[in-house]
Amino acid sequence: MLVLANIRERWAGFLGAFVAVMTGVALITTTLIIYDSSSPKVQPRYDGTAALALPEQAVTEDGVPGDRVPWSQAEAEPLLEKLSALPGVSSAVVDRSFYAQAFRGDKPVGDEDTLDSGHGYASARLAPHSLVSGRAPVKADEVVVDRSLGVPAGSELTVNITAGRTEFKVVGTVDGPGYYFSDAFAAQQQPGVSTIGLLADEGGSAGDIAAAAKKVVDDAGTVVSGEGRSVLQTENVEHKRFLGTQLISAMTVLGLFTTVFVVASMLVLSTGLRRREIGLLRTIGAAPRQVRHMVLGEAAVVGLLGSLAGCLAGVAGAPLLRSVLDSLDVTPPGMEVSVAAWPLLTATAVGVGVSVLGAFAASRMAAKVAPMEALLESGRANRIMGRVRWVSGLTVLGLGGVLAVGTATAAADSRMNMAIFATMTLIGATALLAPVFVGPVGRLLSAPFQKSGSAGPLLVRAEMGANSRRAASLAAPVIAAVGFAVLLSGMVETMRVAYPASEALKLEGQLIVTSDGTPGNTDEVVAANPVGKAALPTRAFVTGADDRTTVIDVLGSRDERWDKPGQAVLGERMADKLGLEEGQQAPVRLADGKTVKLRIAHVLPDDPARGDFVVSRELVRTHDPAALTDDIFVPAAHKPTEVVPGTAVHDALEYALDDYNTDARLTDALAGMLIVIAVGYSAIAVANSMAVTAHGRRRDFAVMKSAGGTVGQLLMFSVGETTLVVTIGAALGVLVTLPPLAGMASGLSQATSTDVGLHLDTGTVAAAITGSLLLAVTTTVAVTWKTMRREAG
Amino acid sequence: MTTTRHDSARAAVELSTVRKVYGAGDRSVTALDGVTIDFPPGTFTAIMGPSGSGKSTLLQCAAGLDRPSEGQITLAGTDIGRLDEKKRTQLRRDHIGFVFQAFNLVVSLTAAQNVELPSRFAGRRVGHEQVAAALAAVGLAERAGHRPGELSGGQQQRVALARALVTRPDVLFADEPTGALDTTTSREVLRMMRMLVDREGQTTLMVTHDPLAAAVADVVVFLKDGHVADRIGLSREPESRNAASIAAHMARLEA
Repeated sequence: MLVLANIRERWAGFLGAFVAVMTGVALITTTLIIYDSSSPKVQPRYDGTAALALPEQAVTEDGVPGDRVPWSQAEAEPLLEKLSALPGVSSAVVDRSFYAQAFRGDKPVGDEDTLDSGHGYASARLAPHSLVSGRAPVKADEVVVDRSLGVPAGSELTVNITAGRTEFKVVGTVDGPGYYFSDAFAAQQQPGVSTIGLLADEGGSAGDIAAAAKKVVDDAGTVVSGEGRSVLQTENVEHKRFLGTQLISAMTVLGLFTTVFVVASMLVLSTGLRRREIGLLRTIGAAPRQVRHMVLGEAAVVGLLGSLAGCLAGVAGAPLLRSVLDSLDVTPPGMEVSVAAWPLLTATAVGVGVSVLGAFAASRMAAKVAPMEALLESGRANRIMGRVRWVSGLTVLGLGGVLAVGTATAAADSRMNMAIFATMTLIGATALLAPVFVGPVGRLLSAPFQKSGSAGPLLVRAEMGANSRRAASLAAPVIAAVGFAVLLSGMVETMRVAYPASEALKLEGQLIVTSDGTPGNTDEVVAANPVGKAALPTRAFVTGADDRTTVIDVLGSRDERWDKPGQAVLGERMADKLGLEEGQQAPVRLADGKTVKLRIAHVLPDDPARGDFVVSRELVRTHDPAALTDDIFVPAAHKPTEVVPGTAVHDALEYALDDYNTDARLTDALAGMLIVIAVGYSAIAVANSMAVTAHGRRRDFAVMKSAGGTVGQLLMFSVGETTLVVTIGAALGVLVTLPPLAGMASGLSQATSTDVGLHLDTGTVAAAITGSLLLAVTTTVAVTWKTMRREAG
Repeated sequence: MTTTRHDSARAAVELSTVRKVYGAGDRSVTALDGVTIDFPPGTFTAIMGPSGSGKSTLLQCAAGLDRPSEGQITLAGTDIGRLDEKKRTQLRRDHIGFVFQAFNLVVSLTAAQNVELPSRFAGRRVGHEQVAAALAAVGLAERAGHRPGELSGGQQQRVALARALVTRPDVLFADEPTGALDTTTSREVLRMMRMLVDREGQTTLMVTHDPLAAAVADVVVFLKDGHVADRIGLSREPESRNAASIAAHMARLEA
């Protein structure tokens, strides 16, 4: 009764929290809908399978599930035999995928998914794609292609494969995408077996087959059926989804944080203005617990209402986010926005939870209001800092410091997230500790105006000193807005300066042969550029003492220092992780499922230019015939005479910029979106706080007016105070962001071996500060004006 | 003037050598300096005194809103100075009613909801009829559904009285209940308070600086510098005469 009545009566006081929750929930709803819509679907080429048998999954160096460990031919054969013999199974088919891409003249056709476009003809049965014309390929130089390629059976076709451009005879066409070679040829291209498709007899049930197959495969792997088959995705789609997910999870995390932060500061502020009423409740018998529950209940109801509105806004906003992600090319192909129930329910639960969480501080404060306060004309002056606030403020500050240091040592991938986390923590700490600074700093800043003799500065100084807690909660959203703007724009700016410069420096005097329209360099390209670094990457598996199989990135090198048969050179970090030492023999399982023993020839300091696990190029080529070579770095003296089709040659700076721009497009977009979210949020908070405060002090204004203050003077006083608070908030916002940014710069310095300084994007920062200031002043003037007119009327 | 009426029955509120000191050291202020006084059940006591005499402190301590520095305060048979916050909350809820100068009501609730609020906090809702009867007793039966914003100042004070009526507190504390009202409305509210004492036997303690308000009480206690300076009983003679003698008394005290 009380909760609902309060919300109805004081809806203006809850409006800020409502809008904040609504915005947060809208954001979360949108991202969840997009995430859900982009969740993996079963590839159409497996549509005809009852189940898929897959090898065991290895873990990455970070301990998260990684690549599957392919079966060797020898391991796969008995499995195939037993699986084909299962009741209900018509046949068990080895499914192989490797690079294949048609060329029209000198131009490669299509550029997405070509890394997985080549298959053995048997794979066509999995969809099934059936022959439209011609016959199945039998010989090694025969291929069956998608009829939509427009190449009729009987004609010749240049197909780029790992070896390079090769002439094939098209012997047939099918009604689905891909290049289908003879199975013997496919087995040469991709000797390891990572998928076995099970086709059902007529009437065979997928569930029964999967269950029976599980018993056969047993420890050697897993069996998936139905929607479970969606675990198999092409690398291209997987990569896009990874990028998209990173983008939207950063948005969600920031959205959650700002919602809690904004809701918390708004509710603390409005609760501070309700002390008298709460005192009244206490005198007529409300226990502190009941008061706390009342505040939390209000937050829950406001959270629920905000969540409902947010869900609607989120559903409406989903296509917008989708088009943003589309323009960044991070959505899986053919994604449809579909609204399932779970994103809405989750977002609503999160919205209510976040609102209640944000109300925690306010509820604690409300429960501590003494019954006496019902009798006091104005709220009893708060202690500036309670013990709990000191302790939690300092704890959070310490945590933020640790995270800022962590930013310097974090791996490249997590550096940005780490910096964001560190900043969030430091912003939280600053908000908690702000009352300590606000008083003294406010007095310091207003000191020069003191001599003017007018009442304004006197009032402002007194106000900041006497009520530094309120001033602090006004400053809090400004701290957050400016802090995030400084951090995000500074990160982008620092990286923009750091990366291309250091890359170009390292690559000076080299020409870089990169793939152009193809996913990597073929052996043909490598042969055409015999001098310079041409790393051949593959994935290999190492089983540790704890019986866990770890997937690692291995580079095949043609650098004569490392290109030695039977040897491996490791970076220190990698050697440490795998527990390997110089001189040891290490068994390494390769892409074809075969295990080779390698002698650890050297353990050297980490060097990204060399690689963490380097072996001879020949070794990789032998065991992973499908691998494509990375960019080739050619000394300028050996400038290639001709450019192989499907490649491009860049000089160092061009390459560095190009390379950086690919990343930068995403980073810029991410930073831009995050800045908009953070600043937009804080704008809501600033406007709300100013409105609530101005409203709450209408009685003070009445007193000041009766003491002879003109409307103009009072407006000036309000504006002066607001300006001061925003200035302090902005200064704190800049200050808290410097440690994480410095940490990031130092991390980049180490990673790029160049001296990376701190760079701030002054334009964005200035815009964020002026924006906050303008908004705050406008709100203050509007609300003060309105309040005074009402008082006068 | 009649002699002080002394009930032999146990007092509703009893203060014994209560001291209240604010602050510490040189800057400490003694608001109550060893006050011993009792308020018999069913009586209406007005507490008067110049500002700074400690009358508000006396009320706050007696009502358990503030803790005395020394001495004992017994209300409803318990020494309330020793109670923890939880017990004091229960005490307020079950045994004490309040009427303040203003802002007595939760603005978001209707008159009826305000009246039933304390019983809701106590976890036992009073019946609809009881609320209606209480509002009728203060002459606001038809205003049950109005919110404080739609009621006049006097009406708001009467809702606060109705709230006290429903919980049937041992003691009703009133802090300048007519301080924000005009003379006519004041008279109305005071009449209601008098009625509560006469009809319901409601023990009432009222702090006021207005002799006209004090004139409706049975006993007037004068405080000065934290001491009980005087205590006079009033007869039920015309209130104006009482008021005049109270005013004269005050003038002597302040002299």
